[in-house]
Amino acid sequence: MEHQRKGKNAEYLQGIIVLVVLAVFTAIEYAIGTADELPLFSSAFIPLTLIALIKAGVIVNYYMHISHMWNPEEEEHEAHGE
Amino acid sequence: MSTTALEPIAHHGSVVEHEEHHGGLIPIAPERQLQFNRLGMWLFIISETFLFAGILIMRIVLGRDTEGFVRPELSQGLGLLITSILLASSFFVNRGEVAIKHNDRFNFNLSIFLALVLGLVFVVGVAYEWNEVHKDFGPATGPVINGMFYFMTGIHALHVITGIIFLLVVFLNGIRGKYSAKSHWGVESAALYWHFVDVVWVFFYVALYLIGTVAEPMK
Repeated sequence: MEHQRKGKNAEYLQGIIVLVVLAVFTAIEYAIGTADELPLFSSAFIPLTLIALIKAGVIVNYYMHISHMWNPEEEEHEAHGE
Repeated sequence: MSTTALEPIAHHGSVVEHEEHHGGLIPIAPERQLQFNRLGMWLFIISETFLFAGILIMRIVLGRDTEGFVRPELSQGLGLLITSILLASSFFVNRGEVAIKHNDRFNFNLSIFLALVLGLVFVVGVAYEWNEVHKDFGPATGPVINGMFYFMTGIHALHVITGIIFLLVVFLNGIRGKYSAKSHWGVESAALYWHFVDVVWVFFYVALYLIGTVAEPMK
């Protein structure tokens, strides 16, 4: 029971960490995108695209669990009966 | 091919007559059903990805002038706000999924409800932005780039509304106690769809609000 509670808390914590990471990347995007008058970011296409790809990767991996798709351990629930 | 596919089923000794095909029955082992469901959902998501990738390519190709990339004149604050709202809604959907996996029904219902509300706020935010762009819309502000804005946000908002309906069904089923730690494919599929819509916005936000410079009025 205690082990289960710890597992749940760890998963909740992971969700919060992912949200914070996404928020930080979004803030960086915003800073780059709205500072395009600076010479460094005159062509913000590449850095912004890279950050968007990282954010998408984080969501697909941690929220959409793509790596667990064929994982038998993830099959604790049945697909029937809904 | 079908013989090979059936081997593990016969091995496990738990054959389920699932559907009729070419006059015969295709047995699917219960333990494989979830994998097939996930595969089907991911194939759907991949097909949708082609649609949105095409739209992004359109934005990159058409959203340029001689100076480089241009973007519509939008409220940066609102763009950041609705993006944050959608990211937060994804967080709550994930939280709801974790909760139901551990039979925590209270947190499940609460999280899905909050995700629903945030999804609605996102749609309201997009509608407000539409209204703001519409006020300035006209030949003087660049019909191509503004048309692109309407098309991209419109098709994305339609997907968000679909996701809201999906989440609403999940929420109502959750209140009725239809999901449990052992049976929650409906929750998982709704979460997958919602996160996908979020991923699309990650790229659309950059493409519409951040890349390039504000389009100059046409002379």
